[in-house]
Amino acid sequence: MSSSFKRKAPATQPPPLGTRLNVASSVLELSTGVPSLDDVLGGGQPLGSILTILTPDRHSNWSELLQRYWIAQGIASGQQVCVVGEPSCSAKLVEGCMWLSPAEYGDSVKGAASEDEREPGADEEVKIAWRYEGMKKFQTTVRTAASRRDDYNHTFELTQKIPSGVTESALQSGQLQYLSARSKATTPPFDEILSQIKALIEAQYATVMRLAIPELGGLYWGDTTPEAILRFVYLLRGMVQSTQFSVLISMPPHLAQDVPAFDSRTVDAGWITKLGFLSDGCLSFSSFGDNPALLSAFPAYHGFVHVHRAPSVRSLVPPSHKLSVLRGLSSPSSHTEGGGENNLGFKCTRKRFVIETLHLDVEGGVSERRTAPPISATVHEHSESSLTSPATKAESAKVAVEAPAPAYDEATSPVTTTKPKKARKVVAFQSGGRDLYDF
Amino acid sequence: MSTTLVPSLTFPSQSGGTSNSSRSALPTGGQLLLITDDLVSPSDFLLHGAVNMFFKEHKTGRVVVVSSLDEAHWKAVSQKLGLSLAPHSASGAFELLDPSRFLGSSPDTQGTLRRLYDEIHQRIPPTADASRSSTPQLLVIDDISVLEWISTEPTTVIRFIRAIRHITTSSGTGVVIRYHSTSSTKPPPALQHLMETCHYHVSVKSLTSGRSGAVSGEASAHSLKASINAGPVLEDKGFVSRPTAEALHYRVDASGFKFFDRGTAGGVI
Repeated sequence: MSSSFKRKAPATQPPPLGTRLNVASSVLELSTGVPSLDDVLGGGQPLGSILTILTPDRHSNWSELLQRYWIAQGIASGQQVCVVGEPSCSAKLVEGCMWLSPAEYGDSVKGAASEDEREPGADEEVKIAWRYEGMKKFQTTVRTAASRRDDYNHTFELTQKIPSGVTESALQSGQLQYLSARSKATTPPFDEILSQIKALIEAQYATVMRLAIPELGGLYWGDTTPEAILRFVYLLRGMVQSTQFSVLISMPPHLAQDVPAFDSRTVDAGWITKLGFLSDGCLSFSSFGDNPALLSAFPAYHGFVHVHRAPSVRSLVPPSHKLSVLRGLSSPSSHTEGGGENNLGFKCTRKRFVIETLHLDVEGGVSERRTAPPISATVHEHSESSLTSPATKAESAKVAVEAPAPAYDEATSPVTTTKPKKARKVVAFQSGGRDLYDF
Repeated sequence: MSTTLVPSLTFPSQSGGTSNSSRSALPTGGQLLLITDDLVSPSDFLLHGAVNMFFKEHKTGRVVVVSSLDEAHWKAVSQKLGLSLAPHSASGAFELLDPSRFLGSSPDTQGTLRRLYDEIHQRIPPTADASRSSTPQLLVIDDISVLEWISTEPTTVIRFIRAIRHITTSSGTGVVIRYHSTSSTKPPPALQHLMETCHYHVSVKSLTSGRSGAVSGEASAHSLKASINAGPVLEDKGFVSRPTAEALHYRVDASGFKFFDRGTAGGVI
């Protein structure tokens, strides 16, 4: 006999704007604006968490770029955004944000070979050996989501700047706000900022809010001590963890190192470990800017990504271990060896910032057979603006290598050709070319 | 879930006796267990394991946890490990103290630690006969290293540890203290004092080969000076130490953790 009892299905409320439920931890998360960074974090940044970004290179400003992505994502998703710091600097940060690509709602699935690095003749059908025809193309990063009907993650382009009308309307509607210390006291404004954040939480407890704190411990914060900064982060975490506020903290380069440089005194090593334990997530973006050797070893990248800690809100194991494709911790492994974590690098192309798995080239420096000269590395003075443009053949690697006797003196070069030389086929091994060991 | 936090790691029971059956899986009677870890291999699983194990072992008991992580986190993780903390929290058997609530505007943490000590003392009152305490009690202190990092005066944390040792000894409460190791060349004063004060030490370290998806880290167990110097009558002869050279590997996943010998999958991987 059929029962008249009907089970009432629990009403599933849609997640708040710009958020989604993590499949591993069942915690709401939001996007950082960079799909590959979302993947590294295990899907996104959990609500009620603190993510700390460290960029130790003094000659670049990757932390500002990531802050801008994070803020732009919040504005585009319709979430509340609050920027903490000196008001004019905060306004300048927001005004410099990137914005949506014109073709956002089109097919944004490009794959690993981006539009900047399309090989010549790529449109022609490539002949592949039959045994490899069924294999997927080698992927070094994650694809952007094809669907744009949800508001979780948008495709931003670095060539697009946020329209001034968008920031003005966001300010007027209260979606965007700036938070700064009101008093002109000489002491660092940590306590005042914390009390303002506490008031903001009490006023907008149920709202999804992004709290951006750029350059924590920098000039705006005055004469800071390591204890004061750590105490600030500790108290802030206690405030936001039960709320829907998410915080992105970045530090100035001199405080983004394991032995930070404080004016007051020297500090022991372990600074990054302390920040990692006090934050829910902590990542370093170590640029190659001041290391020509690394730049020549990895010409396609701008730096390393180190994951010191991945968020693990309401779970014992960070979802990143299970879900991150880039980190590769969940990849199948042999029965004796564990799956090691992939090396990660980042690069900034003309249109986007992306994190990829880092691989060494084939010994000899050439990764594949080419009929054109390879794209060579250039040591840039200002790494921030170093965008790898489409292969310009005029650019060439200029790495100063001091040798006892110059191997090749252009002034006495007997090569003064009158007729154009045919471009040499470049393969992995060159028998006639100059080798590293030629003296 | 296993019957001990770390395989073969047992503690003298409050009732005394030297046989293995009279040993306890958790510290009791004023014994202090120090757990050190690092950022790559945090020991959250041991803290949650200790709380879960306590409630499974003792139908009536009390656990006080000093941690800045909120109750929702503790409940969610315990649930995944097979224990619901909600009824224990509702009855007052599980209580969470957040040190950040006691932090005042002054950067000096002395006042903070005094208030925190008072709160703990209120919940773990001394008993007439600590060795025969009727209600088993466990104190878990998670944020001791953070309190040292934010403190301008390292002696305040040392005094706090000393005071905690006194009240837990007089109340017969077992203590689990977690300390986060940093890459600092010399051990901080609080860690040095903990190594002198605590009876047992479990060291959780990351693998030298870096992060792995199959092995989360390695753990070793040691007896400390407080236990060794307790004298021939009180010295714990039943403790099975596991030196660093014989450290066990462990793997943590969402539903629990498992230990296995080095170089063996042990049915885990």
